[in-house]
Amino acid sequence: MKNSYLKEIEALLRQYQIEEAEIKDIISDYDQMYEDGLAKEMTDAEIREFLGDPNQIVTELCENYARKQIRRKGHKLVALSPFVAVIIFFILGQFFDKWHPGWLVFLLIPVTAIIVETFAKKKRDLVIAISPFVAIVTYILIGILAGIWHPTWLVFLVIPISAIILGPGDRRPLRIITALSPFVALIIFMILGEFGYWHPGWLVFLSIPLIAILNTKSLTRILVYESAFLVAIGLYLLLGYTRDVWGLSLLVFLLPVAFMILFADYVFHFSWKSLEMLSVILVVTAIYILGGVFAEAWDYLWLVFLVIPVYSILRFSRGKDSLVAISPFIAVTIFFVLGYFADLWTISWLAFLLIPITAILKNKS
Amino acid sequence: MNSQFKKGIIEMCVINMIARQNMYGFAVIEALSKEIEVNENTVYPILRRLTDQGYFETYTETTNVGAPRKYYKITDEGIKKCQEYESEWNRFLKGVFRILGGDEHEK
Repeated sequence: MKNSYLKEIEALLRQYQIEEAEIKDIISDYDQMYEDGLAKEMTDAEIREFLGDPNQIVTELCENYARKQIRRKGHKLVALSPFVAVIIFFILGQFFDKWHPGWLVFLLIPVTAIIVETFAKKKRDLVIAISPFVAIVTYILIGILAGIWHPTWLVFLVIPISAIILGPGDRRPLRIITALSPFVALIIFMILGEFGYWHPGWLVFLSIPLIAILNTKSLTRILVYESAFLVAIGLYLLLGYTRDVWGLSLLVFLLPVAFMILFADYVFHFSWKSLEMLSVILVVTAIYILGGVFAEAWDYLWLVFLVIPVYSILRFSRGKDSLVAISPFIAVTIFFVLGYFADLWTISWLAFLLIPITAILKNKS
Repeated sequence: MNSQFKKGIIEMCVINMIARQNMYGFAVIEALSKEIEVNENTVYPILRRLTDQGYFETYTETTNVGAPRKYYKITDEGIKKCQEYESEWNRFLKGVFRILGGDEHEK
Protein backbone atom coordinates (compact mmCIF):
# COMPACT_ATOMS: atom_id res chain seq x y z
CA MET A 1 0.00 0.00 0.00
CA LYS A 2 2.80 2.40 0.83
CA ASN A 3 4.47 1.57 -2.44
CA SER A 4 1.37 2.15 -4.50
CA TYR A 5 0.77 5.47 -2.76
CA LEU A 6 4.31 6.65 -3.43
CA LYS A 7 4.22 5.33 -6.99
CA GLU A 8 1.04 7.27 -7.60
CA ILE A 9 2.61 10.51 -6.41
CA GLU A 10 5.74 9.86 -8.41
CA ALA A 11 3.85 9.17 -11.62
CA LEU A 12 1.89 12.38 -11.21
CA LEU A 13 5.02 14.39 -10.48
CA ARG A 14 6.66 13.06 -13.61
CA GLN A 15 4.03 14.80 -15.69
CA TYR A 16 5.72 18.01 -14.76
CA GLN A 17 9.22 18.99 -15.61
CA ILE A 18 10.63 18.73 -12.15
CA GLU A 19 14.22 17.83 -11.57
CA GLU A 20 14.88 14.22 -10.75
CA ALA A 21 16.50 15.08 -7.43
CA GLU A 22 13.44 17.01 -6.37
CA ILE A 23 11.10 14.14 -7.19
CA LYS A 24 13.32 11.80 -5.17
CA ASP A 25 13.28 14.23 -2.28
CA ILE A 26 9.50 14.57 -2.27
CA ILE A 27 9.03 10.81 -2.51
CA SER A 28 11.43 10.18 0.35
CA ASP A 29 9.60 12.77 2.47
CA TYR A 30 6.30 11.03 1.84
CA ASP A 31 7.97 7.70 2.49
CA GLN A 32 9.02 8.96 5.94
CA MET A 33 5.64 10.44 6.72
CA TYR A 34 3.98 7.20 5.68
CA GLU A 35 6.33 5.27 7.97
CA ASP A 36 5.46 7.66 10.79
CA GLY A 37 1.83 6.87 10.18
CA LEU A 38 2.48 3.13 10.23
CA ALA A 39 4.46 3.51 13.43
CA LYS A 40 1.37 5.10 14.96
CA GLU A 41 -0.58 2.02 13.94
CA MET A 42 -2.71 3.86 11.46
CA THR A 43 -4.26 1.81 8.67
CA ASP A 44 -3.33 2.45 5.06
CA ALA A 45 -6.65 4.14 4.44
CA GLU A 46 -6.17 6.41 7.44
CA ILE A 47 -2.68 7.37 6.36
CA ARG A 48 -3.91 8.09 2.89
CA GLU A 49 -6.53 10.40 4.29
CA PHE A 50 -4.04 11.95 6.68
CA LEU A 51 -1.40 12.68 4.07
CA GLY A 52 -3.84 13.54 1.33
CA ASP A 53 -4.90 12.48 -2.11
CA PRO A 54 -1.95 12.18 -4.54
CA ASN A 55 -3.74 14.13 -7.23
CA GLN A 56 -4.33 17.09 -4.97
CA ILE A 57 -0.89 16.91 -3.41
CA VAL A 58 0.80 17.09 -6.77
CA THR A 59 -1.48 19.83 -8.05
CA GLU A 60 -0.68 21.76 -4.91
CA LEU A 61 3.06 21.13 -5.15
CA CYS A 62 3.31 21.99 -8.77
CA GLU A 63 1.12 25.05 -8.46
CA ASN A 64 3.65 26.40 -6.03
CA TYR A 65 6.54 25.69 -8.33
CA ALA A 66 4.73 26.64 -11.46
CA ARG A 67 6.43 29.94 -12.06
CA LYS A 68 9.88 28.59 -11.45
CA GLN A 69 10.26 25.37 -13.26
CA ILE A 70 7.16 23.78 -14.53
CA ARG A 71 6.23 23.62 -18.13
CA ARG A 72 4.02 20.80 -18.98
CA LYS A 73 5.22 18.43 -21.59
CA GLY A 74 3.45 18.72 -24.88
CA HIS A 75 2.86 22.45 -24.82
CA LYS A 76 5.17 22.73 -27.79
CA LEU A 77 3.05 20.17 -29.52
CA VAL A 78 -0.07 22.25 -28.95
CA ALA A 79 1.68 25.37 -30.18
CA LEU A 80 2.86 23.60 -33.30
CA SER A 81 -0.41 21.90 -34.15
CA PRO A 82 -1.94 24.85 -36.08
CA PHE A 83 1.07 25.01 -38.37
CA VAL A 84 1.16 21.29 -38.93
CA ALA A 85 -2.56 21.37 -39.70
CA VAL A 86 -2.16 24.21 -42.23
CA ILE A 87 0.69 22.40 -43.96
CA ILE A 88 -1.21 19.12 -44.21
CA PHE A 89 -4.31 21.01 -45.34
CA PHE A 90 -2.46 22.66 -48.21
CA ILE A 91 -0.69 19.50 -49.24
CA LEU A 92 -3.98 17.62 -49.38
CA GLY A 93 -5.60 20.50 -51.26
CA GLN A 94 -2.86 21.39 -53.73
CA PHE A 95 -1.61 17.97 -54.64
CA PHE A 96 -4.61 15.78 -54.15
CA ASP A 97 -7.39 18.31 -54.61
CA LYS A 98 -8.93 17.12 -51.35
CA TRP A 99 -9.76 20.54 -49.94
CA HIS A 100 -13.09 19.26 -48.87
CA PRO A 101 -12.63 16.47 -46.44
CA GLY A 102 -9.08 17.78 -46.05
CA TRP A 103 -10.16 20.59 -43.73
CA LEU A 104 -10.78 17.87 -41.16
CA VAL A 105 -7.08 18.08 -40.29
CA PHE A 106 -7.86 21.33 -38.52
CA LEU A 107 -9.58 19.24 -35.91
CA LEU A 108 -6.04 18.20 -35.00
CA ILE A 109 -5.65 21.54 -33.24
CA PRO A 110 -8.31 21.12 -30.56
CA VAL A 111 -7.69 17.39 -30.39
CA THR A 112 -4.01 17.92 -29.64
CA ALA A 113 -4.87 20.52 -27.04
CA ILE A 114 -7.38 18.22 -25.39
CA ILE A 115 -5.02 15.26 -25.39
CA VAL A 116 -2.21 17.27 -23.87
CA GLU A 117 -4.45 19.02 -21.34
CA THR A 118 -6.40 16.06 -20.08
CA PHE A 119 -3.75 13.39 -20.45
CA ALA A 120 -1.83 14.98 -17.64
CA LYS A 121 -4.87 14.88 -15.39
CA LYS A 122 -7.39 12.16 -15.87
CA LYS A 123 -7.29 9.69 -18.67
CA ARG A 124 -10.97 8.92 -18.49
CA ASP A 125 -11.88 12.53 -19.21
CA LEU A 126 -9.78 12.26 -22.32
CA VAL A 127 -12.08 9.73 -23.94
CA ILE A 128 -15.14 11.84 -23.19
CA ALA A 129 -13.56 14.98 -24.55
CA ILE A 130 -12.28 13.26 -27.66
CA SER A 131 -15.49 11.38 -28.43
CA PRO A 132 -17.20 14.24 -30.33
CA PHE A 133 -14.23 14.49 -32.67
CA VAL A 134 -13.97 10.79 -33.28
CA ALA A 135 -17.69 10.74 -34.01
CA ILE A 136 -17.57 13.69 -36.40
CA VAL A 137 -14.56 12.47 -38.30
CA THR A 138 -16.05 9.01 -38.68
CA TYR A 139 -19.41 10.44 -39.68
CA ILE A 140 -18.04 12.82 -42.30
CA LEU A 141 -15.48 10.41 -43.72
CA ILE A 142 -17.93 7.55 -44.12
CA GLY A 143 -20.52 10.02 -45.39
CA ILE A 144 -18.29 11.57 -48.02
CA LEU A 145 -16.24 8.58 -49.05
CA ALA A 146 -18.95 5.94 -49.05
CA GLY A 147 -22.02 8.14 -49.30
CA ILE A 148 -23.59 6.35 -46.34
CA TRP A 149 -24.91 9.15 -44.17
CA HIS A 150 -27.94 7.38 -42.89
CA PRO A 151 -27.05 4.70 -40.39
CA THR A 152 -23.63 6.32 -39.91
CA TRP A 153 -25.11 8.99 -37.65
CA LEU A 154 -25.32 6.22 -35.07
CA VAL A 155 -21.62 6.87 -34.31
CA PHE A 156 -22.72 10.02 -32.52
CA LEU A 157 -24.10 7.76 -29.84
CA VAL A 158 -20.45 7.27 -28.90
CA ILE A 159 -20.64 10.70 -27.24
CA PRO A 160 -23.34 10.04 -24.65
CA ILE A 161 -22.22 6.44 -24.23
CA SER A 162 -18.66 7.35 -23.36
CA ALA A 163 -19.92 10.11 -21.10
CA ILE A 164 -22.12 7.64 -19.26
CA ILE A 165 -19.53 4.91 -18.95
CA LEU A 166 -16.65 7.15 -17.99
CA GLY A 167 -18.23 10.33 -16.72
CA PRO A 168 -18.94 11.46 -13.19
CA GLY A 169 -21.82 9.88 -11.33
CA ASP A 170 -22.88 6.54 -10.06
CA ARG A 171 -20.31 3.91 -10.92
CA ARG A 172 -22.19 0.72 -10.09
CA PRO A 173 -22.55 -1.60 -13.10
CA LEU A 174 -26.34 -1.81 -12.91
CA ARG A 175 -26.67 1.98 -12.94
CA ILE A 176 -24.41 2.20 -15.94
CA ILE A 177 -26.35 -0.49 -17.77
CA THR A 178 -29.57 1.35 -16.95
CA ALA A 179 -28.21 4.59 -18.30
CA LEU A 180 -26.92 2.90 -21.42
CA SER A 181 -30.08 0.96 -22.16
CA PRO A 182 -31.77 3.74 -24.19
CA PHE A 183 -28.86 3.84 -26.60
CA VAL A 184 -28.53 0.12 -26.93
CA ALA A 185 -32.28 -0.04 -27.51
CA LEU A 186 -32.03 2.68 -30.14
CA ILE A 187 -29.27 0.87 -31.98
CA ILE A 188 -31.15 -2.43 -31.93
CA PHE A 189 -34.28 -0.58 -33.03
CA MET A 190 -32.46 0.96 -36.00
CA ILE A 191 -31.03 -2.40 -37.02
CA LEU A 192 -34.42 -4.09 -36.77
CA GLY A 193 -35.89 -1.16 -38.67
CA GLU A 194 -33.39 -1.56 -41.49
CA PHE A 195 -34.72 -5.07 -41.95
CA GLY A 196 -38.25 -3.72 -42.06
CA TYR A 197 -39.29 -4.63 -38.53
CA TRP A 198 -40.00 -1.11 -37.32
CA HIS A 199 -43.29 -2.24 -35.97
CA PRO A 200 -42.79 -4.91 -33.40
CA GLY A 201 -39.19 -3.69 -33.29
CA TRP A 202 -40.05 -0.67 -31.14
CA LEU A 203 -40.74 -3.12 -28.33
CA VAL A 204 -36.98 -3.17 -27.65
CA PHE A 205 -37.51 0.21 -25.99
CA LEU A 206 -39.41 -1.64 -23.31
CA SER A 207 -36.08 -3.10 -22.26
CA ILE A 208 -35.40 0.36 -20.78
CA PRO A 209 -38.02 0.11 -18.02
CA LEU A 210 -37.32 -3.62 -17.70
CA ILE A 211 -33.71 -2.86 -16.85
CA ALA A 212 -34.53 0.22 -14.80
CA ILE A 213 -36.79 -1.88 -12.62
CA LEU A 214 -33.83 -4.01 -11.59
CA ASN A 215 -32.63 -1.00 -9.62
CA THR A 216 -35.49 -1.54 -7.23
CA LYS A 217 -34.30 -2.92 -3.94
CA SER A 218 -37.03 -5.37 -3.08
CA LEU A 219 -36.95 -8.68 -4.88
CA THR A 220 -40.71 -9.19 -4.78
CA ARG A 221 -41.24 -5.86 -6.46
CA ILE A 222 -38.76 -6.69 -9.16
CA LEU A 223 -40.61 -9.96 -9.79
CA VAL A 224 -44.02 -8.28 -9.79
CA TYR A 225 -43.01 -5.48 -12.14
CA GLU A 226 -41.02 -7.65 -14.46
CA SER A 227 -43.73 -10.27 -14.79
CA ALA A 228 -46.36 -7.55 -15.28
CA PHE A 229 -44.29 -6.17 -18.13
CA LEU A 230 -43.63 -9.53 -19.69
CA VAL A 231 -47.28 -10.51 -19.46
CA ALA A 232 -48.22 -7.19 -21.05
CA ILE A 233 -45.76 -7.67 -23.88
CA GLY A 234 -47.00 -11.21 -24.42
CA LEU A 235 -50.63 -10.15 -24.42
CA TYR A 236 -49.89 -7.26 -26.73
CA LEU A 237 -48.22 -9.48 -29.29
CA LEU A 238 -50.87 -12.15 -28.95
CA LEU A 239 -53.75 -9.73 -29.39
CA GLY A 240 -51.92 -7.92 -32.15
CA TYR A 241 -51.11 -10.96 -34.22
CA THR A 242 -54.27 -12.98 -33.66
CA ARG A 243 -56.92 -10.26 -33.66
CA ASP A 244 -54.95 -7.56 -35.52
CA VAL A 245 -56.01 -4.94 -32.97
CA TRP A 246 -52.57 -3.35 -32.51
CA GLY A 247 -53.84 0.04 -31.50
CA LEU A 248 -56.32 -1.16 -28.98
CA SER A 249 -54.06 -3.81 -27.51
CA LEU A 250 -51.61 -1.06 -26.47
CA LEU A 251 -53.95 -0.71 -23.52
CA VAL A 252 -52.48 -3.86 -21.94
CA PHE A 253 -49.47 -1.78 -21.02
CA LEU A 254 -51.66 -0.08 -18.49
CA LEU A 255 -51.18 -3.25 -16.45
CA PRO A 256 -47.54 -2.73 -15.48
CA VAL A 257 -48.13 1.01 -15.24
CA ALA A 258 -50.94 0.36 -12.79
CA PHE A 259 -48.67 -1.89 -10.72
CA MET A 260 -46.06 0.82 -10.62
CA ILE A 261 -48.51 3.44 -9.48
CA LEU A 262 -49.76 1.01 -6.88
CA PHE A 263 -46.26 0.65 -5.49
CA ALA A 264 -45.41 4.19 -6.46
CA ASP A 265 -42.64 4.46 -3.92
CA TYR A 266 -40.24 2.59 -6.19
CA VAL A 267 -39.02 5.93 -7.45
CA PHE A 268 -37.49 6.78 -4.13
CA HIS A 269 -35.08 3.89 -4.18
CA PHE A 270 -33.07 5.68 -6.78
CA SER A 271 -30.56 8.18 -5.67
CA TRP A 272 -31.73 11.58 -6.83
CA LYS A 273 -28.62 11.98 -8.87
CA SER A 274 -29.10 8.92 -11.00
CA LEU A 275 -32.83 9.52 -11.22
CA GLU A 276 -32.12 12.99 -12.47
CA MET A 277 -29.65 11.77 -15.05
CA LEU A 278 -31.95 8.98 -16.09
CA SER A 279 -34.79 11.42 -16.71
CA VAL A 280 -32.53 13.72 -18.69
CA ILE A 281 -31.45 10.74 -20.78
CA LEU A 282 -35.02 9.59 -21.31
CA VAL A 283 -36.26 13.06 -22.26
CA VAL A 284 -33.40 13.54 -24.68
CA THR A 285 -33.92 10.12 -26.22
CA ALA A 286 -37.63 10.80 -26.53
CA ILE A 287 -37.00 14.13 -28.28
CA TYR A 288 -34.58 12.41 -30.60
CA ILE A 289 -36.88 9.54 -31.49
CA LEU A 290 -39.94 11.74 -31.90
CA GLY A 291 -38.00 14.23 -33.99
CA GLY A 292 -36.53 11.43 -36.04
CA VAL A 293 -39.78 9.61 -36.68
CA PHE A 294 -41.99 12.63 -37.28
CA ALA A 295 -39.60 15.14 -38.79
CA GLU A 296 -37.03 12.79 -40.31
CA ALA A 297 -34.47 14.76 -38.34
CA TRP A 298 -32.10 11.85 -37.59
CA ASP A 299 -29.24 13.67 -39.29
CA TYR A 300 -29.00 16.61 -36.98
CA LEU A 301 -31.15 15.90 -33.96
CA TRP A 302 -28.37 13.76 -32.45
CA LEU A 303 -27.10 17.11 -31.21
CA VAL A 304 -29.61 16.83 -28.38
CA PHE A 305 -27.53 13.97 -26.99
CA LEU A 306 -24.83 16.49 -26.23
CA VAL A 307 -27.16 17.75 -23.56
CA ILE A 308 -26.41 14.62 -21.52
CA PRO A 309 -22.68 15.11 -20.92
CA VAL A 310 -23.12 18.88 -20.69
CA TYR A 311 -25.85 18.51 -18.12
CA SER A 312 -23.84 16.07 -16.04
CA ILE A 313 -20.76 18.28 -16.20
CA LEU A 314 -22.63 21.42 -15.20
CA ARG A 315 -24.63 19.70 -12.54
CA PHE A 316 -22.12 17.40 -10.91
CA SER A 317 -18.61 18.64 -11.45
CA ARG A 318 -17.29 21.47 -9.47
CA GLY A 319 -16.51 25.01 -10.46
CA LYS A 320 -13.96 26.42 -12.72
CA ASP A 321 -13.14 23.56 -15.02
CA SER A 322 -16.70 23.00 -16.12
CA LEU A 323 -16.62 25.69 -18.77
CA VAL A 324 -13.53 24.14 -20.30
CA ALA A 325 -15.11 20.73 -20.08
CA ILE A 326 -18.25 21.74 -21.93
CA SER A 327 -16.46 23.81 -24.57
CA PRO A 328 -15.99 20.78 -26.87
CA PHE A 329 -19.72 20.22 -26.87
CA ILE A 330 -20.53 23.84 -27.56
CA ALA A 331 -17.97 23.83 -30.34
CA VAL A 332 -19.42 20.67 -31.86
CA THR A 333 -22.87 22.23 -31.83
CA ILE A 334 -21.76 25.46 -33.50
CA PHE A 335 -19.66 23.53 -35.97
CA PHE A 336 -22.43 21.18 -36.93
CA VAL A 337 -25.23 23.76 -37.06
CA LEU A 338 -23.23 26.11 -39.29
CA GLY A 339 -22.05 23.26 -41.44
CA TYR A 340 -25.27 21.38 -41.80
CA PHE A 341 -27.77 24.19 -42.10
CA ALA A 342 -25.64 26.81 -43.83
CA ASP A 343 -23.28 24.42 -45.61
CA LEU A 344 -20.32 26.25 -44.12
CA TRP A 345 -18.30 23.12 -43.32
CA THR A 346 -15.15 24.68 -44.71
CA ILE A 347 -15.13 27.46 -42.14
CA SER A 348 -17.34 26.20 -39.34
CA TRP A 349 -14.46 24.09 -37.92
CA LEU A 350 -13.18 27.42 -36.61
CA ALA A 351 -15.68 26.85 -33.81
CA PHE A 352 -13.26 24.28 -32.43
CA LEU A 353 -10.79 27.03 -31.69
CA LEU A 354 -13.19 27.88 -28.88
CA ILE A 355 -11.80 24.94 -26.95
CA PRO A 356 -8.15 25.98 -26.65
CA ILE A 357 -9.28 29.60 -26.27
CA THR A 358 -11.51 28.76 -23.32
CA ALA A 359 -8.79 26.62 -21.78
CA ILE A 360 -6.22 29.38 -22.12
CA LEU A 361 -8.51 32.09 -20.76
CA LYS A 362 -9.50 29.92 -17.83
CA ASN A 363 -5.92 29.07 -17.00
CA LYS A 364 -4.92 32.69 -16.80
CA SER A 365 -7.64 33.75 -14.43
CA MET B 1 -13.87 29.42 4.20
CA ASN B 2 -12.09 30.77 1.16
CA SER B 3 -9.33 28.25 0.55
CA GLN B 4 -6.73 30.82 -0.51
CA PHE B 5 -7.34 32.70 2.71
CA LYS B 6 -7.16 29.54 4.75
CA LYS B 7 -3.94 28.51 3.08
CA GLY B 8 -2.41 31.81 4.11
CA ILE B 9 -3.43 31.25 7.71
CA ILE B 10 -2.11 27.70 7.71
CA GLU B 11 1.16 28.98 6.31
CA MET B 12 1.37 31.43 9.19
CA CYS B 13 0.64 28.68 11.71
CA VAL B 14 3.27 26.41 10.19
CA ILE B 15 5.96 29.09 10.30
CA ASN B 16 5.01 29.89 13.88
CA MET B 17 5.15 26.26 14.98
CA ILE B 18 8.55 25.69 13.44
CA ALA B 19 9.79 28.94 15.01
CA ARG B 20 8.95 27.49 18.43
CA GLN B 21 10.49 24.10 17.92
CA ASN B 22 12.00 21.93 15.23
CA MET B 23 9.50 19.48 13.86
CA TYR B 24 9.18 16.74 11.27
CA GLY B 25 6.51 16.64 8.56
CA PHE B 26 4.15 14.12 10.08
CA ALA B 27 4.14 15.91 13.42
CA VAL B 28 3.34 19.23 11.76
CA ILE B 29 0.29 17.81 10.01
CA GLU B 30 -0.77 16.05 13.19
CA ALA B 31 -0.44 19.11 15.39
CA LEU B 32 -2.25 21.32 12.92
CA SER B 33 -5.14 18.98 12.29
CA LYS B 34 -5.65 18.59 16.01
CA GLU B 35 -6.41 22.29 16.38
CA ILE B 36 -7.94 23.39 13.12
CA GLU B 37 -9.61 21.79 10.19
CA VAL B 38 -6.84 21.64 7.63
CA ASN B 39 -6.73 20.23 4.20
CA GLU B 40 -3.88 17.78 4.73
CA ASN B 41 -2.79 18.01 1.12
CA THR B 42 -1.68 21.56 1.59
CA VAL B 43 0.56 21.17 4.61
CA TYR B 44 3.49 19.39 3.04
CA PRO B 45 3.54 21.64 -0.02
CA ILE B 46 3.59 24.63 2.33
CA LEU B 47 6.52 23.18 4.30
CA ARG B 48 8.33 22.59 1.07
CA ARG B 49 7.68 26.03 -0.31
CA LEU B 50 8.76 27.77 2.87
CA THR B 51 11.96 25.74 2.80
CA ASP B 52 12.52 26.74 -0.82
CA GLN B 53 12.01 30.37 0.07
CA GLY B 54 14.71 30.08 2.70
CA TYR B 55 12.53 30.38 5.80
CA PHE B 56 13.32 26.83 6.92
CA GLU B 57 16.37 24.62 6.88
CA THR B 58 16.17 20.86 7.00
CA TYR B 59 18.32 18.28 8.67
CA THR B 60 17.89 14.57 9.16
CA GLU B 61 17.96 12.81 12.44
CA THR B 62 17.83 9.10 13.03
CA THR B 63 14.97 8.07 15.27
CA ASN B 64 15.02 5.30 17.82
CA VAL B 65 13.05 3.16 15.38
CA GLY B 66 15.98 3.51 13.00
CA ALA B 67 14.36 5.37 10.14
CA PRO B 68 15.81 8.82 9.43
CA ARG B 69 13.47 11.78 9.67
CA LYS B 70 13.63 15.13 8.03
CA TYR B 71 13.27 17.96 10.54
CA TYR B 72 12.41 21.53 9.72
CA LYS B 73 14.22 24.30 11.52
CA ILE B 74 13.56 28.04 11.31
CA THR B 75 16.19 30.33 9.76
CA ASP B 76 16.89 33.98 10.62
CA GLU B 77 14.93 34.97 7.60
CA GLY B 78 12.13 32.72 8.78
CA ILE B 79 12.04 34.42 12.16
CA LYS B 80 11.75 37.78 10.47
CA LYS B 81 8.94 36.49 8.29
CA CYS B 82 7.21 35.01 11.31
CA GLN B 83 7.25 38.36 13.15
CA GLU B 84 6.07 40.12 10.04
CA TYR B 85 3.18 37.69 9.77
CA GLU B 86 2.29 38.11 13.41
CA SER B 87 2.06 41.88 13.38
CA GLU B 88 0.22 41.79 10.07
CA TRP B 89 -2.20 39.27 11.54
CA ASN B 90 -2.78 41.27 14.71
CA ARG B 91 -3.49 44.40 12.78
CA PHE B 92 -5.82 42.46 10.52
CA LEU B 93 -7.70 40.87 13.42
CA LYS B 94 -8.12 44.19 15.21
CA GLY B 95 -9.59 45.66 12.08
CA VAL B 96 -11.91 42.71 11.68
CA PHE B 97 -13.10 42.94 15.27
CA ARG B 98 -13.71 46.67 14.95
CA ILE B 99 -15.81 46.03 11.87
CA LEU B 100 -17.75 43.32 13.62
CA GLY B 101 -18.33 45.80 16.44
CA GLY B 102 -16.68 43.79 19.21
CA ASP B 103 -14.47 46.39 20.90
CA GLU B 104 -14.18 44.15 23.93
CA HIS B 105 -11.91 41.84 21.94
CA GLU B 106 -9.19 44.48 21.87
CA LYS B 107 -6.41 44.06 24.31
